Amino acid sequence: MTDERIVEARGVTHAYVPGRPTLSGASLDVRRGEFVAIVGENGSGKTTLARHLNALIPLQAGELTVAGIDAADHGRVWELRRICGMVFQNPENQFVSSVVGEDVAFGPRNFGASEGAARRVALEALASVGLPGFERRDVHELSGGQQQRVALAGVLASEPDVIVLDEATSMIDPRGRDELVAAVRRARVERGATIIWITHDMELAARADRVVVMRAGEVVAEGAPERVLTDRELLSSAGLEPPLVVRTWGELVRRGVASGPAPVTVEGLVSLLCS
Amino acid sequence: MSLSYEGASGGRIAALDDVSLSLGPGVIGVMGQTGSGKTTLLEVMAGALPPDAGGMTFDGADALRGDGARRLRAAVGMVSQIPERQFFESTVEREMAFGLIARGMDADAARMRASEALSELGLNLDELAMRSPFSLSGGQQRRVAIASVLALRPKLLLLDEPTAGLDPRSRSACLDAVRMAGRSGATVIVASHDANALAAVADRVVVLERGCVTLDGSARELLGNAPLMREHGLEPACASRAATALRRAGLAVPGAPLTAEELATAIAEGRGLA
Repeated sequence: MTDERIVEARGVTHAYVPGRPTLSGASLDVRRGEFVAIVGENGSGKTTLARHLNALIPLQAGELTVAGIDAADHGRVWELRRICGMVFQNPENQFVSSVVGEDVAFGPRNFGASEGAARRVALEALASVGLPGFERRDVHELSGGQQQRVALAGVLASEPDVIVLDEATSMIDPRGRDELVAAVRRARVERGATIIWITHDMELAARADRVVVMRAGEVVAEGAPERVLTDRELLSSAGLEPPLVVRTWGELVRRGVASGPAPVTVEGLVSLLCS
Repeated sequence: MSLSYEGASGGRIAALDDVSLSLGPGVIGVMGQTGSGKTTLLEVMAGALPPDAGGMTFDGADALRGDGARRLRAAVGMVSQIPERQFFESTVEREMAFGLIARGMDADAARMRASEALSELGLNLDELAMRSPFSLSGGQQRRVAIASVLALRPKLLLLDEPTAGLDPRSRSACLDAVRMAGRSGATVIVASHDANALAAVADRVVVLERGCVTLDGSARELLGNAPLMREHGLEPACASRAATALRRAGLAVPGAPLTAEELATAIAEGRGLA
């Protein structure tokens, strides 16, 4: 992770229906190589902010740059999308071909790779998400979880600097989720990719460098998981609840069995109780 | 029941392979890896897909043909994995009322029932009535889809990944509604990867692997056994995973905890402090 800010959002406001803003002046900085988890209840503006990062919706108010590219600059939309790839909650929304291999190769081919190179990176990307040999399958024949992994492969194949995942593991089984998380982690470690992960999974958020909490279209808190995910009052005001480990620790403290700051992961719980 | 389909290479792929289940009232969780046949099983049970081999009865009658099939269709409610697939009306109010009016309910009674069902899922009909269901957020769509089916009070309720994409408050409301449906005498089948959600509502859990039933037992027996779940490529409930990690580190953690409270009690007992 470097100090360079790869995402800078200032006062981003967006209303799908006039007078009813979904985003109300959201501001967010993300450093290159950082893993940021964005949490918040349904309708808090997480997905709308993500869509702005990918220039999928026009900026109505505020400022947003990704790697220095202004999201409001229509002439650089394709450049911005090359730098920032997005995996949606519903993968069917992002398929451009019904054949898996062609869909995954679409990005690199569209960004100028030769036919052979696009095919090669597509096969590598499919292998990296645990779907080797799927290139000739029909995307519509796949399960929801397999579709989510194909969607991630499509993004990885374009080697974006920033990967935005919007509830991208919601339909995947644990093995598939582990493979998807490992593929994202590899992109971060091997290429220094920046990860912005929108999730309701507090255990996943606990593994981020920083957790950002959204409520009613605004960023209301951000900080290390150990600080944000143990703040019951903050989480409750945002319609969220702490991870099970934090709730368990709270019970142990209440019963006088434990004391001190709560751990946020199972590993942290084991370390505190068994050291 | 067995069901196969033609794969891209021309060969037959078994989606369900000699599955036999007998299901009564209550909440039954169906788990399995991606592509294990969970959705196919639900679609067969809904009468939407006929099996290639085997049979299915509902309330004692053949559910694949004739009167039995009609009775199944009248009694079943299904919410698919991608809720917007089942929307077709222009407003939430019309979407909610469609099934009720089709079953003979008058408009006022249908509105009241729709309002109750939405409220159970933490939504307000007055606020959403004139919105297009397609314009709602993913979480709202899922809850409207579930509410529209719950409003019909089906005897057989089939839910495919009902908590996917829901925030904790919506998830909790959804699970409460599922639990209530199970307690009201309906048979509720929930296909899910979410072991914590199933730990909160399921009486029984069935595990599918490559179209076959490989595990069938009580929710505590299966979801509380982290090594067994992992052996089958599944995620145990978080409390069970934590209990297993603590045992491996040398702490005695008795029982099979499924919730934070149960885990705290087990840890306290293990330390002799309960």
